[in-house]
Amino acid sequence: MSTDVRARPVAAEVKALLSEYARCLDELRIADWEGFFAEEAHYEVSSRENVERGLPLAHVLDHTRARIHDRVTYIMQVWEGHYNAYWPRHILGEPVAIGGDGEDSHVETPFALYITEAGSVGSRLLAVGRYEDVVALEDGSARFRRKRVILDTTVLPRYFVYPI
Amino acid sequence: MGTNTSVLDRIQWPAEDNRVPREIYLDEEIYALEMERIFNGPYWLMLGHESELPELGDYKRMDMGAVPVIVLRDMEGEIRVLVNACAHRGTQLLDAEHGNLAKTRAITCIYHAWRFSLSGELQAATMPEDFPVDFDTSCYGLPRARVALHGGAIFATLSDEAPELAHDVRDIAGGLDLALGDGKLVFLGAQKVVLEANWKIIAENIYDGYHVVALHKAFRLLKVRAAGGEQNYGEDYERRGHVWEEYRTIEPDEIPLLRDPSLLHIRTKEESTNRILNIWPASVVSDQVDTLALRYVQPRGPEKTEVHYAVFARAGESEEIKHHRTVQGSNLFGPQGFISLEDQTALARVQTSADARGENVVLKGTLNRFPPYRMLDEAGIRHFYSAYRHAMGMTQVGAGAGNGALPEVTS
Repeated sequence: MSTDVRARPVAAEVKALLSEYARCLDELRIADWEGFFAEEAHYEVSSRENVERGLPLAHVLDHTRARIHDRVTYIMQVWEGHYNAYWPRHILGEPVAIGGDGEDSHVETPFALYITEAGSVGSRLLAVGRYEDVVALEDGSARFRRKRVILDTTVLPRYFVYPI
Repeated sequence: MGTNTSVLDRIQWPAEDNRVPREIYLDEEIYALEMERIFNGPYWLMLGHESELPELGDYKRMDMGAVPVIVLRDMEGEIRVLVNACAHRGTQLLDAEHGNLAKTRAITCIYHAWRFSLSGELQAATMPEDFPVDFDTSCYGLPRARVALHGGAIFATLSDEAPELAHDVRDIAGGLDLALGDGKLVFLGAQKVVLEANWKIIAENIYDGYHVVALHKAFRLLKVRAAGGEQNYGEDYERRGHVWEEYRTIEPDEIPLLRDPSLLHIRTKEESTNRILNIWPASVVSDQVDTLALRYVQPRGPEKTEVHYAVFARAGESEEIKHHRTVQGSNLFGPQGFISLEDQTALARVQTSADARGENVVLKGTLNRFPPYRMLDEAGIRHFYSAYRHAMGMTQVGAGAGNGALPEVTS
């Protein structure tokens, strides 16, 4: 058994944040996505391969709230009609508390992302991986201060458009 | 070869050199012949950059057409490209994407424990007692590709007939040198993605300056059309279809669209010069805005292509500049980037509708029969396909009959 006896329960607010986040993306409410982040926030999608080698390049690297906002602009304005759309479906596993520094919760959650493309037969797996999140609990509401999406998937089967 | 070559008679390549039959994006036999005649033919494929393999024994796995290879730095520091199949029964030797072999200084096959040096020689076969009496380890080395470096970029070919790399790329070496400098780079990582398009559709896109402002909002913001630029081709462009595009951008004073406009800022160059090169058949060197990237292109069947976007900083640059390059390499020119995502969509859609048969047409800039062309032309796609037909042994219908087909170029 390698159960960490220090493991703490994941707060109900954090669990709710994770499931609402996934639901927002699955419903393609892209404009609402940035509202899940704190005023100072970092969002990143990286491959496990780069992370394990200590290489900083990412699929998506929005290290400020301004960039997180700009991503919504790319999707809704710049790329409008310029991408092959799909419906995402995030399947989240059980979040695990991996520590914290008093104010913030550090939580890791495994996920699988399936997509359904218009006109295609069936649905397919786009990526699997884990979220490494730092969640700020302020005034009773939970927001991501840092959301790092680490993809196990080494070679993506296609590009992705929407945040993961 | 019999069944392979018959496909060449089946493809009706139009006499007009600006028309491309869509079957070549779909046909399995054409694809198999391309792997043999182009990806294993007398051409150089870019497989990496030295800075990805900084330590003795570092390796990464790649494919040259259908042939799996190991790209590695041997214990003498030499870059080697070895076929990733045991000389005995063909077992895959290394299965990790990358790694280091310095500890063992050898590649050992798991199946019968044959051991090879990092330069590919068979060091020992286990229990050789009952082998044929003339068994000679020196006959069982791993096949090696020829390797040549340019600015630290690693090129390899499985053909003895390829000219020396320096000769092959001589006419675009100026562009390679401007992009790669002294070759002392720092590897920032790679994004790996399958583009749902034939490898030629992906390559054509580099010759196609027409789409640059038609498709890309970011290039309109950077005023590429007003700033101008040109496409350079080598002397032997009908046979060695490399292209080197050199163009300028104008950084706007403000970009109201973005809250953080630094995404489009140029901070590493005195002047806003940009360049992108396609090294025939399909290797890309990109030095655009502040993203310095190499793209390694590995076909995965007629309708899919795996592309690695490897991104670099220059040695000695500050952490701040490295970070800036990392953000641009991720968010501007990465597969999910502001610019490059749009390319992938367009290329996938060209592939999807190749089933419509018929021909694709190349128009912009074709009033000029020969290069150089302006940055925003697409005329060079004709030369890509001229080199392609030459490599494949294809001819145009009625070629040489005075119907507009290009004359044979004597080399």
